[in-house]
Amino acid sequence: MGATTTLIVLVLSVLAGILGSMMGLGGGIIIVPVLTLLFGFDFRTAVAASTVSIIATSTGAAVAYLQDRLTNTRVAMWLEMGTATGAMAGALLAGLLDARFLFFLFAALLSYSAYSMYRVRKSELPEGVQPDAVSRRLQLAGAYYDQVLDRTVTYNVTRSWAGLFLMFFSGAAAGLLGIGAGAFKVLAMDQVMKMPIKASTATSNFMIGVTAAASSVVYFVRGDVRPAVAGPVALGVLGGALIGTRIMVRLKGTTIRKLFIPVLLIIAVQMLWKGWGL
Amino acid sequence: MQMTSEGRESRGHSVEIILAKLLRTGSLVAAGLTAAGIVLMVLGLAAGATVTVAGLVVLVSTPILRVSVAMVVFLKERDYLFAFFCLVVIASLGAGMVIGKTE
Repeated sequence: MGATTTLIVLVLSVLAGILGSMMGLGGGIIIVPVLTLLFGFDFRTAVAASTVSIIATSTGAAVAYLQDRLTNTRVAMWLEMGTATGAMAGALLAGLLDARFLFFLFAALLSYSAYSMYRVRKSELPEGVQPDAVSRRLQLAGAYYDQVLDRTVTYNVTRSWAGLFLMFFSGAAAGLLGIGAGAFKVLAMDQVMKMPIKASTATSNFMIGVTAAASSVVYFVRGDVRPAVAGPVALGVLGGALIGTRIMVRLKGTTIRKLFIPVLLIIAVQMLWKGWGL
Repeated sequence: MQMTSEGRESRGHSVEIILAKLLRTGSLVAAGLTAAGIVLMVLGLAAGATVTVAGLVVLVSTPILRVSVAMVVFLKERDYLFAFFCLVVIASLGAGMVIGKTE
C-alpha cells in the first residue's frame, strides 16, 4: 500500500470520524464501502478495519462527551448489559438464523424509525417524560449544559426495560450482520427511552466501543486486522472524532435529528443490498 | 441537577472523570504509536507494522479496560448493582469471544 493510498484512507477516515462522533455511530457505513468499493480490499479486511474505527470513534469522542456531561454513564452501563448478552447470543445463534430474513427485518425497522424521527423533527427536547420504576431505582436521570440553548438541560428516562430489550436484539444483530449497532442504540435512547438526542448520540458513542472491542479481538486472532489498512483508519477516525465532538455540541438537537434521518435510510439500503446479495 | 441528590452527583462525577482520564490516555498512546508506525511503514521500515499493531492493541484494549475500571469504581463506592452490570458485560463479552474464536 503506497503513501498516496494511505493518505486518502486517512483523510476519508477523518470524515468518518467526524460523522460517527456526531451521530453516535461507528462510521462503518463510510469505512466499509470506501475500502471495498474504492480500494478493492476484501470484505474481511474492511470489516476488521471498520470495527477498529468503531473503537476509535467511541474512545476519541467519549473523552469530550464525558467532560461535557453529555454521556449518561448509568444509562450506558444498563444498556451495555443488553448489547453484550445480545452479542453473545448472536455468536451462539450464527448459522442457525436466516441472515437474509434478519437483514430485511432490520431494514424495515430502520425505515420505520426514520419515519418516526421525521415526525418529531421539530422537537428540540422531549417533554413531560415520566421516569419508570427502573429509571428511578437506578437514578438514570441526567443533566448537561447545552451550549446552543445556553442553559442546563435536565431530563428523565423512561421505558428502561424496552430499551434493554431492544439493545439485546441490536447486539445480536450487530454480531450477525456487522452493521447498524450504533443506529439502534441512538434509536433506543431517543425514541424509546425519550432521552434528548444529544445525550442519546453521546451515550451511544460511549457504548459502541465495548462490543466492537470484543469482536475486534476475534478479528486480530484471525489475522484480519491489516496494520497498513487499520492503522490509517484508526488514526484518521481518532482525529475526526476530536473535530466531530466540537461540532456536535454547537448544533441544535433538531439539526442532529435531520442529519440522522438520511443516515438511517442509508443503513437500511445497505442492509437491503446485503440481504439481496445472499 | 435539581432532580439528583448530592450523593448521586458527586458519585456519578467521579466515575466520569476517572473514565475520561483513562480514555484520553488510551487514545493519545494509540494515536502516537499508530502515527509513528504509519510513518515507518511509508518509509518502508519493517518495524512499522509492529509499531502500528501495538497502537491498535492499545486502542482495542481501552474500552475493555474502561468497563473493568468502572466495575472497580462502583465496587469501591458500594454501588453493587452497577458493579454487577459491569460484570455481566465483561462475562458475556468474554464468552462471546471464546464462541467467536472457535468458529
